Amino acid sequence: MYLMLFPPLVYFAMFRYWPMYGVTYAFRNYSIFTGEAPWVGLAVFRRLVSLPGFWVAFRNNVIISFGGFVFGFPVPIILSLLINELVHIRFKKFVQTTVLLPSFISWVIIGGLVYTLLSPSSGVVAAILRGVGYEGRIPNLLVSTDHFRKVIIVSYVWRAGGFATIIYLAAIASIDYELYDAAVIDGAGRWAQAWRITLPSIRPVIIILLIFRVGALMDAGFEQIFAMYNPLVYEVSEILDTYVYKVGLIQRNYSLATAAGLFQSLIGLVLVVVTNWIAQKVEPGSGIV
Amino acid sequence: MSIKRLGMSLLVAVCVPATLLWSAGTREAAAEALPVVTQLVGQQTHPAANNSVMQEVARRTGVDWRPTVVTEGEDHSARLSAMIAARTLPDFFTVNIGLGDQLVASGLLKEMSGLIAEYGSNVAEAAGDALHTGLNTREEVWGIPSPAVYAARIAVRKDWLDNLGMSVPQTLEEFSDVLHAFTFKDPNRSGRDDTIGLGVRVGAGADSNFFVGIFAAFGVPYMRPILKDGVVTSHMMHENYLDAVRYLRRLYREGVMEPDFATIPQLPLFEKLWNGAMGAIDFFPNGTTQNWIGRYREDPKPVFEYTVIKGPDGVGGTLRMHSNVHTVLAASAKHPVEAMKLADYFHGFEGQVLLFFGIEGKHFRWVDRANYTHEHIPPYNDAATLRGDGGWVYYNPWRRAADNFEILILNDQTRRAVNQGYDLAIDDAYIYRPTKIEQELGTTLRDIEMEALATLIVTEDDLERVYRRFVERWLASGGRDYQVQATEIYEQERGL
Amino acid sequence: MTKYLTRMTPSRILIYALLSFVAIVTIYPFWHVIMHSLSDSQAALGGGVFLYPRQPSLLGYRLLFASGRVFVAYGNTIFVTGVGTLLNLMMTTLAAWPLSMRRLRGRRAVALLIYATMLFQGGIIPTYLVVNRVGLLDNRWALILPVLINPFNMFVMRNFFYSVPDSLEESARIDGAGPLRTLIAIIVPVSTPVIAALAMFYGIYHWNAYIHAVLYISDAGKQVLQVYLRSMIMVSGVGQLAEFDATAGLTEESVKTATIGAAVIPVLFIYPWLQRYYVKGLLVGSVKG
Repeated sequence: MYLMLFPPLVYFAMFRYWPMYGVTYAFRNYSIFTGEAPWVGLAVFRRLVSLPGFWVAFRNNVIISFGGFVFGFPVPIILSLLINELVHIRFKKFVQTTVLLPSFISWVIIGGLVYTLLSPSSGVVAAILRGVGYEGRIPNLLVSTDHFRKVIIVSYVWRAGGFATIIYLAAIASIDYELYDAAVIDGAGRWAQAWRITLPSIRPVIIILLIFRVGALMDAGFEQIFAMYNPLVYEVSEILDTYVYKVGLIQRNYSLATAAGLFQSLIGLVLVVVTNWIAQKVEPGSGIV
Repeated sequence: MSIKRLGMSLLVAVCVPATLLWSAGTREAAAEALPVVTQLVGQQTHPAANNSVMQEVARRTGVDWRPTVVTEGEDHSARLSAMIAARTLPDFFTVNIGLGDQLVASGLLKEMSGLIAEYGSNVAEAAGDALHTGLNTREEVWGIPSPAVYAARIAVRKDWLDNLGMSVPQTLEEFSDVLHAFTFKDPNRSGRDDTIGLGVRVGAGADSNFFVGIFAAFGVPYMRPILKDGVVTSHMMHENYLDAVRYLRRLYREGVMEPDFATIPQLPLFEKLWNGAMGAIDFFPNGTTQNWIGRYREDPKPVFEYTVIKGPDGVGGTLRMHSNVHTVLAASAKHPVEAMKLADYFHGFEGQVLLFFGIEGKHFRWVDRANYTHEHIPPYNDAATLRGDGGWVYYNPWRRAADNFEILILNDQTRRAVNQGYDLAIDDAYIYRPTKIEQELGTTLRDIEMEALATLIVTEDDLERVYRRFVERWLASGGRDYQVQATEIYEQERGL
Repeated sequence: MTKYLTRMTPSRILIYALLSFVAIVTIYPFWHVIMHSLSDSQAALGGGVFLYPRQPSLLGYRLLFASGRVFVAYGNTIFVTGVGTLLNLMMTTLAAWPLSMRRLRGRRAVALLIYATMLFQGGIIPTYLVVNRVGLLDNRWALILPVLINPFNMFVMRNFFYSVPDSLEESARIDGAGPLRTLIAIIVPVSTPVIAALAMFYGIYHWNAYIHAVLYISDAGKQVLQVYLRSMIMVSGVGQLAEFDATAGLTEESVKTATIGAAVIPVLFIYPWLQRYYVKGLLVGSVKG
């Protein structure tokens, strides 16, 4: 058993723990030019939180990632349950494939598509509205400080939902069929089966995905925001990652970027510990440790 | 059983290409033992390994030149940072002054004045006075300067003007009348409402070109620092800034400029121009009337005319060209003499032709050499194919400051527009070195300027109040420090 | 039971309708890209919705495949994806299986150590320094070894193993099988759904991996597909756009869409093949009783 664990542990030691000293750059002033990194305590963090715009970015970060979580987490579960109800194997495979497709298309392209859909002057939605005789003003959601975050969250769920769906489907696929047979004999309908057998059976997988999702809650999706935002909505969509990117762009400031990353990781860690603790209460033995 | 099959098929899928690769790998070892000079090039197109141009360089110079191309921008920057940190620097690479200063200070660059004196006559001749500015001093040469060439110029559709019986606009009033006619009076005689006046987009870098000419008419150097009461500050603080914004607001409200200017991606905007849906654009002339000729869909091709829009005070023009980019030699270079000989070859006429056009007789042939007219030989008349074989992709880091080769080969209209651009430059307070606050805050100050312009154009609130709010935000977000530091650098650089 | 399965109840019709909508929405970005790539690039100018190719043309693909370079790049990517995924699955299983054994001492500590690597990462520069130190620069293995185990995938697999009945493993042990034999002969066959799902994830990761190749590979002969493809399109900056003439009558957008097609279509052939293993796992599960 321990022998089996040996190769993975060697890997983790070499490629994960060896470079991990880089985390200490959050407390040191690292220069790639001299290679020196004198300890400065919490100075880098203090600078980070005192940057103009940091707290705005933090707030946007929380709102966007929380929105993505609340709407994004249940969708794959519901989707996988629905897909499991399909009885035509070909259609089922077809849907299984399509949900994964958007994740192959980069955010830059998706961003262009969203513009193609939503532009009030040349967009598809506008054309449809005009086509059905709508005469009123069509708002530009992409420059609206009220709606831009919603666009971000919906397009996030659209693109990223497929992966989790695939994991749930794999979990559902390995549920013992006898359980269903027994339930059918008990007279349970499809909904009851989904509720009483499918969901409980995939609960460990749901819990682990939940914990990871919570752990990554501070990650609001750099690439997506970067590809989709514009100067008119900076104030509602600048997140920590895009902000730190802009700040660190000219100066190769790795200490600052590391500190921002660590800041996010620590929040993630707290959230994970709490979720993990709750998970252990709900279902002993699940969770990460 | 199923797992075995899965494993087997994966194994086959792996082994076949692996074997192919291995045999490809052994072929490389055939290179002779010429002195090796490496280079990191930031570029969009990546040429093939060991392409014709690399081989030709080795044949002509006796140097085994190994350029690695990494996509310009973020990728290039990440790669270079990693190489600096790991001390695995290539021999030649390209830096801006901010980065160059730090490399000089940490002893990672090689001082080149001795090498240039002995082996670099072309380099010295091509750089001229620029060899002692920027990163360099009178005595020390740390980098070979690479100039900026193209200033933005306003081009209007001459054929549309003729259709409408209008003359080329030269004042702001005439310009807005023309844009109005371009938008609403069917300038292309299509019978449909399918045109837009002015193409604009808010953005940084090359995207800032779109507003240059209009701001210049008000004497404002768009997105450049200005000198105001002896202090270097944002162009937003210019006394005419709001007047320029008011003019743009009018164009926006009348619907004669791109309505989605804040959100439209780059290509859809240019596609409007290429499709014949746009009447005027302020951009690099080498695009508008040179390289994009093949992209215009209309038949006959659109006809453009460059113009200078003059404002109320009779000023107008474009931005001054400054470059803070240098190609530098690493202190760790194993063959500095060969490296300099190579750089010198690239800066000579033969080298410039090779880097830009490729190999004579293979990639291109001269039509009229005295006038620099040429044609590419199929299949290299396709830009991507030429670049794949090493043509043009390596040119940028070796661009000459004096007698620039790429200007010589432009068509007459474009060359005139480019050269006029130098004379039309309005004043700014450009500084070559980054301020400390910019190093700390990156592009955040610049982004406030972009956000301000976009908001001011569309806002329905009181314009002056919104403007004051942005000015205050700019000052409070590091702008005050910027003014102090930039003024200091400005005075230093101009020897005040 | 079969009869029951295929009957179309109102709720089932609703499910079909809903999932058809999901399929359309998720397939569209991909469809758009493919149809665009098959259109004549001049005709494709102007954007809008693409339901079919406009003036069908393969020019974009011809350009991509004109030189032999694309095949070198395909070869490198297939090597990295094939070898990489295989090693990923082996190493991940080797880590996940022992960690799922409740009787293994210290497994919680190991799990925690592994989880920590998700939160605390050394960053680009320290990892580059390690890769340089172990002599992997400009080597295709640098694209495989540093990413041997994705902790997230490892935990998904471990939680999957939790749901494998202990009785299975015990009976193998009583039969005198060693841990490795038990794993290969008993556990892996009943876990094909999760293995197939993870193979998909790892495979997609390697297929799409980009930044490591940018950082570690100098020789264009070792470069991978994504780097080659992205080099064919304008990634950023309109500045250079002015320097690009279009003698082949192509626009960036057409080449861009063709590159996406060239990158994604091969994956689409593999995916349905992997999907079979979901069903296989299901059969194994039902047969075993």
